[in-house]
Amino acid sequence: MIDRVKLLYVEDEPINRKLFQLIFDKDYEVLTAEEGVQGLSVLEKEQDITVVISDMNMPIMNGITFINKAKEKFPEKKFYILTAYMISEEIQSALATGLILKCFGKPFNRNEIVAAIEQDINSNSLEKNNLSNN
Amino acid sequence: MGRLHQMFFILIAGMLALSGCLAFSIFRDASKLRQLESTRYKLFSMGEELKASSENLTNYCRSFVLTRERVWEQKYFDLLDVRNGVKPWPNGHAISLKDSLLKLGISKQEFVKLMFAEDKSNELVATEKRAFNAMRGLFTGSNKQFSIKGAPDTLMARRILFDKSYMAAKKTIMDPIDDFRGMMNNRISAEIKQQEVQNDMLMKLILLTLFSGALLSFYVILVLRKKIIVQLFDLEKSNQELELTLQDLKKTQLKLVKSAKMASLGTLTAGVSHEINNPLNYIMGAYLGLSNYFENYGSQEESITNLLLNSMKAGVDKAAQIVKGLNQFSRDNSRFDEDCDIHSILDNCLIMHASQLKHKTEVKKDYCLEDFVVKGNVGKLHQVFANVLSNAIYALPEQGKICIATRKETQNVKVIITDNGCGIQTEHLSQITDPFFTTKPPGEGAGLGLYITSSIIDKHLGQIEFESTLHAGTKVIITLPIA
Repeated sequence: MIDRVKLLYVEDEPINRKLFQLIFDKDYEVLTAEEGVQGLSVLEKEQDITVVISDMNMPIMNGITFINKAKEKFPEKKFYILTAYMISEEIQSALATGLILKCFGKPFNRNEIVAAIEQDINSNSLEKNNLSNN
Repeated sequence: MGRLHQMFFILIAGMLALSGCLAFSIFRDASKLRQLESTRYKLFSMGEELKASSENLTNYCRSFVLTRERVWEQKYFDLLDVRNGVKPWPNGHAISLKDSLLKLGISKQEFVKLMFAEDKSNELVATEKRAFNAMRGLFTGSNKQFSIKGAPDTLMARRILFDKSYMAAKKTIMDPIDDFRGMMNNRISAEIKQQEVQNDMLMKLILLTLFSGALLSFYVILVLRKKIIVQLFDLEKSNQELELTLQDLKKTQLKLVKSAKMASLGTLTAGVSHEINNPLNYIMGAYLGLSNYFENYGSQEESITNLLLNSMKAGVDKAAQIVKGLNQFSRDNSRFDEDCDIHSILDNCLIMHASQLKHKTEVKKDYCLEDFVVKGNVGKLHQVFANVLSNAIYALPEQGKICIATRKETQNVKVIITDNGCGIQTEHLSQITDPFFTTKPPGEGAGLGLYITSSIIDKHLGQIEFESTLHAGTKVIITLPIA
């Protein structure tokens, strides 16, 4: 069996964190952080995290600011937003520049999230395979 | 220009004043003329009086010497007294003829003639007195006084009053009087003539002044008219500018009202949807967790737990859909290149009005099988259909019917919203898209709904039409170009 994908979920609401962990535990190894600063330190410690999903509205810094800082250090990782707000202009431009791959809405749709992650990881490994083949 | 006006004004006022003065002097001269005429008449009649009284004196004294009746002598001396101003005239004033004449003003030459006549008259009176005394027997002596007494000599008296020298002496009185009258007449006629010439000149002056005044006024009116027309033109121009400004102001006000409303609505719905979505997320998570649990460990009453789980899922989905629809309404962006799915927008609008429609309205959806995508602004198109729908609901009776139909027409989509409500009065049909036009009672509506609706449709290059029958219902047809 291949190593389970390691995923970091940054969210300030404890219920959401616990539920997310419970739901996605089957598919991924889920790590959590309460806000951006903590999220960055988790990323430092756990370098093999491949997927980062962040809430938008959080204390200290919002989701986009956190992902901006994280992407500077870890450009290889897949970043997503999961928000209860509708898509704002900030998120719109983050999608346009490729800072985030997708924006999910709350209440979350498990299948949608799983499908998106699978697709992005696979296309990435395909690219890698292609590169090594060449 | 102002100084020129002032000058014109002063000139015209001066001319008017001059005409006034001239008219006044003509009036004064006219009264002088009348006075001259009356003086001439008086002098003439006085000359006549003098002549007549002279004749009378002759007649009285001749009558006396012929009849010897004392009454004639009495009449003679009475008349003499009146003439000399000792006794009053029939009009009651005692004034000598000479004084009366002098009082009316006569020239020196006339006065000389008059004095001459008086002297001659006095001489005649002396002759006549001689005749009277001869009747009494008194005769003049060497000292020229009636000092010689004798028998009364009627013949002598008669001779004195009828001989040639008496007639000649009488003529010498009448001649200067005639001369006086002639001179006086010439003088006054000359004066009158002069006055008339003066009047004539004054009249001409007045005419000249009035004419030049009229000319000047005409010129001023011409100049002023030009200026007034220019000013009117300017006024018209600034009026138009003001109107434009007013229209701009109205539009700006509308935008402000609209944007303020939408901004607050956007903030509110964004906040509310966030607050609702989060707890929905809990339920969704719990539902998924429970589903996993039952999958892994099984349920003792699987049909019941499945029903419960599905109910949870259905509830969360419905609530999430409502929140999503709400968000569509207040999407605050000004882009007009979004993909707008007309059917899903219409459904969102129906969800938003669900509570108003429930139980009292039968909603019939007659959608075209094909889905339409219009390029535009999702939020604003939501506003359009929600507004038309809410108007339809407002117009509905207790049990109403609303039909929403969509049709494809070459490059357009037609959305037809029909209600069986109270309808729109024919005279209002042309006004309903005007800003601030409303038939709702004050406080219930600002009259902006259809104005905003039609301006949004304009921006989407579409059209909105209304067909309405009073008390039967309204049909709203919205045509939008398909992307």
